[in-house]
Amino acid sequence: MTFDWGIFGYNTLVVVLLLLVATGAVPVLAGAFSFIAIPFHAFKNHYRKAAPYLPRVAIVVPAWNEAAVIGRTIDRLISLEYPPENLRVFVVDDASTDNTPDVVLAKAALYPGQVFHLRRDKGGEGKAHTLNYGIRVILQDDWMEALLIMDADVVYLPEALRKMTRHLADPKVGAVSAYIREGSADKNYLTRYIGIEYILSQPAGRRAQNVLGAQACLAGGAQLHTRENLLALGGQIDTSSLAEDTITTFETQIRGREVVFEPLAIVHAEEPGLIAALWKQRLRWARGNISVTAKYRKIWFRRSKVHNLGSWSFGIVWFSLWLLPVAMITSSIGLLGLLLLHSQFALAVFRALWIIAAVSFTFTLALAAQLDRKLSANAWRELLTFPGIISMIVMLTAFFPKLTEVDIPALFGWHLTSAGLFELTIAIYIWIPFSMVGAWLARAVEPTWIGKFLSPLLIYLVGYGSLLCAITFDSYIKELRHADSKWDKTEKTGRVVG
Amino acid sequence: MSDVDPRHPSAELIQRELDRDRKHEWVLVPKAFIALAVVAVLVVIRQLFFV
Repeated sequence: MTFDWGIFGYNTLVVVLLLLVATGAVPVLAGAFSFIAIPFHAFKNHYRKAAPYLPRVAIVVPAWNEAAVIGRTIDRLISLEYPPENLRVFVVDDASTDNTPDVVLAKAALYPGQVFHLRRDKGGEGKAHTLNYGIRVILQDDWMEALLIMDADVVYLPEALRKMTRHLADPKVGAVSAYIREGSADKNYLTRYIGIEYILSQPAGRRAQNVLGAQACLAGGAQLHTRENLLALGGQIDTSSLAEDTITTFETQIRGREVVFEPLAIVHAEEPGLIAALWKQRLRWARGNISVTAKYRKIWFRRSKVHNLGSWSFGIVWFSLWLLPVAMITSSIGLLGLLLLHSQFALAVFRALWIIAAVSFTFTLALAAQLDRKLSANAWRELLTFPGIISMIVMLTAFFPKLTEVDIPALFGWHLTSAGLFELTIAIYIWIPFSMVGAWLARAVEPTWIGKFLSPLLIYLVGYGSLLCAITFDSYIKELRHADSKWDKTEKTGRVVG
Repeated sequence: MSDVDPRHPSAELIQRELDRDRKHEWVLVPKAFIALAVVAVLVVIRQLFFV
């Protein structure tokens, strides 16, 4: 018997390519797994341990040139359905150059003993530094029992705070987060996409994380800490990275305290309406997540008696999001390699991969649409095209091959030749990495005159998910180049509906 | 006109709200089944007409 090195090499290559294709299925299956966990929130939630509890809450509001919004924000906070004697608002003015101080001082005079103006003479160091200035002042006496960290432009629904504090009745809870809902008054295609993304990541994703017993991130605009938790964190917010919210969330859980997401405490926030602004904001988040992944390298996939951050389920969900662009590229390389080798597996794994994607997306979006019906109804186009129109066509090609390869071409009197079908297949197989290029192009043309029409069109075609993947990919490049990582404030106009 | 100050929610009101919200979470189960039904329809159409 002779050993055929050629066949051995070919088979080895096919196995490697199949493994590459499989990497593309991991994030899709992880996403589906998260969504399957959501209905379990019906009986695995924190409501049983919650109770009526109205602690003394100090609200710290970082503000840099927020004159347009800060007055209304203070009025809304004072009118929350929460005992006013148990509520104090500390606005930390980060060396504003507009008339933010005047507005805040006027409100302090209007609400004596409830609103306080704290002024930093040297500003611009970032949100965490600004917060820490306020926290140091608040911790100087023992009035504060719980601390609410928020942004200057967000709008809390009247009952939101008391829905958060009820979880602090359980002494095991260190922090509570709320549902940050996209609430721009003048929405465009991008803010509607962000609204859908926030449904997927919060009332869906964070509910699932409640079930899994580990939270990835407290919302920057709505995080409520107990005094004990804040002191355990050293009485300050981490300033070493761009991901202070994630680090605070991880440190809380590592110290043995629970982090709870309250889906029915709703906070409206204005989100970027331009790709450039969104890119800047998300690049900061993505680079922060890279540093968090490295900082906590010893907890991943290692069981702990104290927290669930090391569970396999949480680890796979975390890395699936973080490594999604890599998985998209490797699975396309695998598919293309199998096709060029004329492997019998090429078509089968393509169909399997995209059928999994189609089933997962259908389930995910059908469930998400029901979790926030009003927002989904207003953004139905963005909900349906979230994966991108072209990706949806690819899914249709995998799910209903006869429809796209025979029936639809026949309607136009076309017949796909073998060569034409092969070229179409190659295009479909490598579409996913190219969708990121399309998202990058949408950003590049946005400032030009044609961008007003072309950018939205490109995002509808390539999908909002591809835009987020392109930003994550950019974060890899920036980290590899050790590019400057400075805190940039996302521009807000104060047009949030209450 | 009610003389209840919304800024002073009573313990009873908060408890009722808590009970209501806890029950509200059970709607997630039928919602998940509806989402599964949408997937099932897609699979049935494929099996009936496109295989």
